[in-house]
Amino acid sequence: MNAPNLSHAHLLHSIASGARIHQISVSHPPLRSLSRDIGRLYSGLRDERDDPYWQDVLRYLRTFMFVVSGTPLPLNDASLGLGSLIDRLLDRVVNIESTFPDFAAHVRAVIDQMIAIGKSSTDPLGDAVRHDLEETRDTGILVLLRRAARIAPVRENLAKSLGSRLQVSTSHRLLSESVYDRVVAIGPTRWFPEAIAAPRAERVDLFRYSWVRDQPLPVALFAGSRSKGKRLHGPVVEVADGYSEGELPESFLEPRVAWSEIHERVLRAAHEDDGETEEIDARLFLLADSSAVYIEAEEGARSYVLDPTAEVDDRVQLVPGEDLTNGMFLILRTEGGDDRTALADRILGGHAQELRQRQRMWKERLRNHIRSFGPGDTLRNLRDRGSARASLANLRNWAASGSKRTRDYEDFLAIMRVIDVENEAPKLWEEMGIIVRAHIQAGQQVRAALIRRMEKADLTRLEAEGKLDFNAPDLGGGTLTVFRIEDASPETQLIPESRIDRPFHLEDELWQG
Amino acid sequence: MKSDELWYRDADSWRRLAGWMRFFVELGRSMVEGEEPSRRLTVGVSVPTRSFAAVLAAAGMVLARASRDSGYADSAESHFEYLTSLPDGTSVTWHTPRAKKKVGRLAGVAEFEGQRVLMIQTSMKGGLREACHIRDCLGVQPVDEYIPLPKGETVGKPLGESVPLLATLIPSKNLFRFLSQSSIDCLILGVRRRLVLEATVGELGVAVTSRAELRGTINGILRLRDPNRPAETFRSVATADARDVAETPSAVIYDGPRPYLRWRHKWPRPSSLLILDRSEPRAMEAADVMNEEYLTKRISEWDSVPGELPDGIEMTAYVVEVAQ
Repeated sequence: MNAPNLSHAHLLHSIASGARIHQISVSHPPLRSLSRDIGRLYSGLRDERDDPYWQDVLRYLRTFMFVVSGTPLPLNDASLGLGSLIDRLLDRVVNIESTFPDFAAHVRAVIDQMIAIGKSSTDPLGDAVRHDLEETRDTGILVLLRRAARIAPVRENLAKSLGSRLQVSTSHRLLSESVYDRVVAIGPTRWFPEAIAAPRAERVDLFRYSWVRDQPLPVALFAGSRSKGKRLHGPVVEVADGYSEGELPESFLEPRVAWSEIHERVLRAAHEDDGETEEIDARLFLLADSSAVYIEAEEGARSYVLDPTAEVDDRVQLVPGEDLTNGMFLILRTEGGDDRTALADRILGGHAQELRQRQRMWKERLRNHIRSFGPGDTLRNLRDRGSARASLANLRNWAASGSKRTRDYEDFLAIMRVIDVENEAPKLWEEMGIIVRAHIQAGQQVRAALIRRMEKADLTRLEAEGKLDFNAPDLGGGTLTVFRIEDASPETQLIPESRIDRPFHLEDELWQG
Repeated sequence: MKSDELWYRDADSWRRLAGWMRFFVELGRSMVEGEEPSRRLTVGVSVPTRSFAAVLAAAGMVLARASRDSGYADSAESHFEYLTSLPDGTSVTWHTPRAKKKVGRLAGVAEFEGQRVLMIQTSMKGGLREACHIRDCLGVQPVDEYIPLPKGETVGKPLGESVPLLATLIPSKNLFRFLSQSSIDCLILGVRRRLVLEATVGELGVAVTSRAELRGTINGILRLRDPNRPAETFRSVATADARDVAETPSAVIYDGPRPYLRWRHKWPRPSSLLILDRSEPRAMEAADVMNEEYLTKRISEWDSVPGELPDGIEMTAYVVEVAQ
């Protein structure tokens, strides 16, 4: 975000008042034919649509149309990933002739069209954008994509003819409050409500295929609200050639995330460490490069976040899990090196092994007690022995291997009484305090090292693409990656601790915009 | 003083406040004037950018409250009694009737020409003590921490560069109280660093001529509380964390969706203003929450902002009944 300035704020208000927003329709007969056939299949399925099998099949079809509708690249460009998507769909429908014979021929015909399109070197959206922009003298052009994953290949593709005057990004870029000569958005209007509601250029062009049904919505947010004229409460988008008679329902291309499917796939996937770790409460975050990560959501859990707009010394902050939200930049270790625990152990030196053994001892005893008596009786036992803060959430936190000791000594003493090591309580409290202090020191070292790295990092690229790798020689080597958070799951889930903070790739069909 | 008499600095020149700037100042002023007991006034505004919206609305709130007559004499009497109940040696700040700022320590009560006066030690030199009359004692505020006294005699520091500007915006009978007393006329929940920056770089002026003394910053009006300067008086607070504020503010501005979604239940009584930038990803989420209250709890609409809405600004405003 730029430094605040009343004049610049006034400019943004002026642009928002006078911006003209156009929708430009792009024709491509093979895709139109495919959309018609998918639309007919969708209509013909009727109640069968709720069947998990068809939900899966429709998800692949939807993803195909979503990707091609939002990416100005040749249709056979490898970064679109249409080939592997079709392969996964073919795997899913391998037995369709025996399971759903009435629909088999229709589905096969649809897939044949998808294969043909996926091999085509045409670039309908890219050509339309180039045609629109080649004759303009605009020098500051922002191209908006719905998803960040393909920003780099799109920029490379468009820059061949349009040069360096254009930037490619997602709607997050609008928050920076920069002003452009023109903003170009690829996809239907409902993918870019921010670009329409808070324009950052006097001209905004939205490119969509002619077969995409798209009724632009008013951009007013509040019930019972008023505004001057019809800019916020009426249609704001000028449509050059009317709307198509597309047979795909408007909802087909609505952005959606298959949260529960992602969670199930994660749990199904084998992981060698899972057997040895406990489950902790975590929230799933979608990241700008088409990956996702579980972040601990237990009370007190905090993650490193980068604020590219802050002064150098404030750029890296530890933020509570509950405060993480879309648009923030999360710092995660993606390869090798030491995490905070390893650094803390280095600070503890020769005492690390013994102290960690003591930490494991009381954790295991507490977990054994919970297993034997159940959480309810364990809570009662703790309260009877003087714990004032015993609650299910706190108990889970105390038993988690990451926590070192309770906040108050009375709670710690109650735990020691319950697990029959009361006489060791004062000594253990001191020992756990040593670990706590080592973690604080390690945290300070990590933060200082991250700040040093961020001083030289290309934050402009990070803001455009949503992802930036950097080496961390003073943090035990390896790679750290800054990711922009694109979305967060509405619910938390219990996840094996070994999966926390480890980004994993998401297939396109699980995250459609 | 009307907002259309205010100017803002645009690089090297001065311009009259733009329509949207005036709108926010007047909105803040109107919200104060529209307050009613047992009613909470709630306003939601969506804008193309949140920059300066919260601080300008807060300025309107602070100015409106400063212009109210609040029973000066009575409050001075009770404040005098309060000060005399504190132990000798309590650190205080003192905004003197000569518009200077001093630090001191309470040093008992004395009689002067038949009237009780508060004694304040203002220097280490010979334990120098000065007298403060009841009528001026609102300028004396206790401070929670130890403040060292100057070694020599001191005339005090000037009250601030914005005072001449404030003198044109606030009735003169209220100006001393405004400068010398602390209160939270407005709490802004948002990114403090950003808000402080906006308040300090945003320059306002009145009937601007070559007389520089009529210029000041938005923060000259807001007088945002500075955690690093506990001896300074303040009229508003900007913070990201509502737990930083123990007092009940007179009004709350939620600058963005995050503070609203997180803290909206903490102060159910004061008037509240939610400002949403329509380019923010969570704007709709926060608007949905406010819309639910609008649909289920509003007892009436509120439509007292003078003038028409500027282009590009959307506003909803309603009244909710609250328990006293």
